Amino acid sequence: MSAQLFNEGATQERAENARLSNIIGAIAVGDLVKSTLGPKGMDKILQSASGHGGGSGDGLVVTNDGATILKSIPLDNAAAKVLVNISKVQDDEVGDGTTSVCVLAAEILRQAEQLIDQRIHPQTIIDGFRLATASARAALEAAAVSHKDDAAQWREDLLSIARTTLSSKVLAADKHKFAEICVDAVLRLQGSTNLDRIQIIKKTGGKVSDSYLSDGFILAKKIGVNQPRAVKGARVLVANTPMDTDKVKVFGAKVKVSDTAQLAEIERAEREKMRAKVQKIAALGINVFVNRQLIYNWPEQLFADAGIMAIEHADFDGVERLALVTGGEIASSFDAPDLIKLGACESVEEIIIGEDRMVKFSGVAGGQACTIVLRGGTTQMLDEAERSIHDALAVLSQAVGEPRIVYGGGCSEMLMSNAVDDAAKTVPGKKSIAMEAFARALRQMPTILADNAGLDSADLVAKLRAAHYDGQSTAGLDLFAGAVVDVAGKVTESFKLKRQVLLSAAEAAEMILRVDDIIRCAPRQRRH
Amino acid sequence: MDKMIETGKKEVVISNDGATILKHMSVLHPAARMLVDLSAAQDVEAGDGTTSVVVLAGSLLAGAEKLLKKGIHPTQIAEGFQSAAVEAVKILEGISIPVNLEDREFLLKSATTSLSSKVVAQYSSVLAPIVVDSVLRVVGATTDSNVDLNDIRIVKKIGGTIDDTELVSGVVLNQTAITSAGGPTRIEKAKIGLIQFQLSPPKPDMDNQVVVNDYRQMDRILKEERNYLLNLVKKIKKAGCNVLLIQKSILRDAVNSLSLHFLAKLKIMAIKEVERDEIEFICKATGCKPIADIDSFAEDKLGTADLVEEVDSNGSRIVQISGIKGAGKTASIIMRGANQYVLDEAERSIHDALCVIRCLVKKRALVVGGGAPEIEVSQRLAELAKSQTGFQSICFQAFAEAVEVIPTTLAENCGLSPISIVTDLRNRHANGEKSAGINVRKGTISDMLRENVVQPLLVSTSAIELSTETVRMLMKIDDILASR
Repeated sequence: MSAQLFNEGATQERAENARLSNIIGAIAVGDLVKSTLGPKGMDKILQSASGHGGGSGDGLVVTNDGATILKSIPLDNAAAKVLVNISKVQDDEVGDGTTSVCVLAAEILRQAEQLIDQRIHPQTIIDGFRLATASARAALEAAAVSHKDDAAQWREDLLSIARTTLSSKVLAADKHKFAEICVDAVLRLQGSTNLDRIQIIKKTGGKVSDSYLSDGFILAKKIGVNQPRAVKGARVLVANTPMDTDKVKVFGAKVKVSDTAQLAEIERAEREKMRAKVQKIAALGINVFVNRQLIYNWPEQLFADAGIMAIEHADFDGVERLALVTGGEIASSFDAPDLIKLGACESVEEIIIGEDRMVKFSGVAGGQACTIVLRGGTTQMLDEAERSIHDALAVLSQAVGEPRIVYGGGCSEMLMSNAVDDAAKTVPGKKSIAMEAFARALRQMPTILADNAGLDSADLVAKLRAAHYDGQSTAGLDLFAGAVVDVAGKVTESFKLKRQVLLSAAEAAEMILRVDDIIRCAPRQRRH
Repeated sequence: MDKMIETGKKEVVISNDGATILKHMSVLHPAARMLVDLSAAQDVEAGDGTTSVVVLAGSLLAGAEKLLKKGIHPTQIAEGFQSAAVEAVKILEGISIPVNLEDREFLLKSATTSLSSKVVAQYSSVLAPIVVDSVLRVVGATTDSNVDLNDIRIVKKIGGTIDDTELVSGVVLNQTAITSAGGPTRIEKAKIGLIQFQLSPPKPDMDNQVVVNDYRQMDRILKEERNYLLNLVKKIKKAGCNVLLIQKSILRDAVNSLSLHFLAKLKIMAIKEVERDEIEFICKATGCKPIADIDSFAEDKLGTADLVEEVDSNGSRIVQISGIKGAGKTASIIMRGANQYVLDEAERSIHDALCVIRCLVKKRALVVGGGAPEIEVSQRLAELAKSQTGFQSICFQAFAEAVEVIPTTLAENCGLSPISIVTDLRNRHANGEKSAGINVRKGTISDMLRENVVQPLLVSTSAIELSTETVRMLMKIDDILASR
């Protein structure tokens, strides 16, 4: 007699089945994104069935970024979803390394599976992993260097970090140019991590290497007819107010008159109302008016007569950024002039990019804003370029806050792996077996990099390990030459990134290992 | 050859222009969609060569496939193609001929070459001068490095044949004059006002009702409406305006029969249905400023012209404004054609030709056509391949072979034997005849410079760069996932 514990449709997996299903799910996700790792990594096409995917292409996205790929795939396995989550967190925290964290977690779990087969209890494995993580972290911190005091070297470090981040993306061919662009943009922020000050404009046409960094803020909108096309010493009002017809917002409001003359009067009154509104705006002493909504003919002409440049229909994003950048606040009503904060900049003018005309605000207060204009052949290219630049900018802005760097190309992983191996030798009991497994998982990272490049991974990784034991603590893999070289100054990663990858992956692996029961609830019944 | 496409809305499109055909095809495969985008990007950048760029991309991919079978890693192929493209652009710049914008002959030759592959090829002697002159009118020959094609307006009218297409000195409006009340259709010494308000009974933005309690008041309502409109029209006349352009409004009628009657009496020509996005062009072209309210109707806002008249040509009427004082740099082209499809295709062809001339303004150099530059690039790259090592050498070789697809296709399309023609071309280029290309009219190889077959450098370089970029992107993809 079996007691029915759960509702109809609920399932339960226990013990070995649960663990197996979890580990398989996690390994599958890791294998999925493995091939995008490193400078020789490949991209993936995400095709949306409904035709509306993320991005501006019609349901078609080409990307290398782990977080983007994982976010878009519908997954069923619970452990896989955990990995997708840590990838997202990595994206939010640091910006790059989203693929690495997934792959590392998957590799750790792969090793753990073998340990479980050897009848080692999961808790022992977890203890061992914790010790391993601690010693790996200590080794990483010991190897991190900071060059913040030396300005030239510091800039070199940042450029190197940017190049390393971009080398696995679609912009790899122009990485030197884009590294310069990103570093310049981030240094202008002067320590702030608010990436909203950097506006990115995408325009199809031209090639990717035609992209450039423009100081000042570019808004992809047109100026009204007959208005000044360039203004110096601009006082900018950013507003979100209807400037078309000033309707009474009570639904069904009607007015009853007894003859047409009164109708004409009402019409006059409406016009006067709009004119009064424009006068109130003009009385603030502005010469540039940016509105989120439409500016119709009558107020447009009034502005033109007053010599004010009026820009209509700016998008939400643009308006928020413009307000931030010029130091103004978005206004919706103009009755209390002291409560309205105007923005200021040195000049506002119209420029042409590609075939379209845009408005450029230059010389903004604080000099922090800048715009990166991206050109490219296809919309997919542009979208992926924008994602890559976002990644690079995020990493760089973090690096400005946490200036320590470590070296990539498998160098830090090998360093940590050797440290863990050494620590394992001093720990008695089965925990040391777990630590050795952790070290093996860490060594998988350079192996994957070499595999993606089509090189002999076993050979290279063994050589790398020997080099580290020989004392060359900055040895890493050069995937273009296919050899073990000194990567100091060539392949640089932010310390925060690597530490976050290590900690998140270890934590996720631990969390998944502790599970021994999966309960799937019955799907919610829909009412007919 | 052209293609006929029936769209989902059961409309028919006949076209030769690559970008148009691809845009209308509903393509499913993601890689194919990327090629459609590629064509659109070439359209934005250069305007012409939209077919060539896709053909080139396809040929490069075929070459890459062969390399993959040999076991070369896709990222290596991508890098190799990138270096090859950079070299190809250098080679093209080396064989290019610089162009002076004052030289009208050269510009005519390029426009003719661009039009020669389209439906309207036989009329290129009529259309090419129109295209060149309109661009020259809009651009400042020495200073500008870009042309805003919005300054050139094309007005299409069914009727007549393509031969009747003409470039108008002045402005042409799609709309016709309103003659229902007997208004004039021809005004000399015109003063043009562009109004953005309506000459109809007052209508506030709120919902309103006129409530009448007494039958005598009905009379009064009619009288007041009349007075109101009369006042408006009088003010317009007082400012000296005799041609009125009225913007279209969705909220109420632009004119009603009473106001038209008044306008006709005061001998003012009225034209309505002017679209909001035409306002800027008209302002620039006629020098008038848009007026949004009757009170600001002043003389300084009016434009002046010698003659505004409605012309009846081949069955349809258009309004022509000529002799504009102080006009901005704009140009208007009237296109005629026997039916809608021919007109649409002719407009696309003219747009391509305009873009070709714009390319010459951007990058003032030409290369010859007829497949000659591609053969030259192919040969030089093959030589460069010999001096490279490793996979670079093989990629350069593959790139060189892929580029030859353009002359091969040209030969096939005109019924010649591609193998014999292409090998003959290779021979001649190796002997130093750098402008030898395929003469499709005679079916042989001849000197393209003498035959006046030339195209802007920007079209060819842009085609090579964009197609290489897209092929590189496609090479780096190893998985297609279905996402939500």
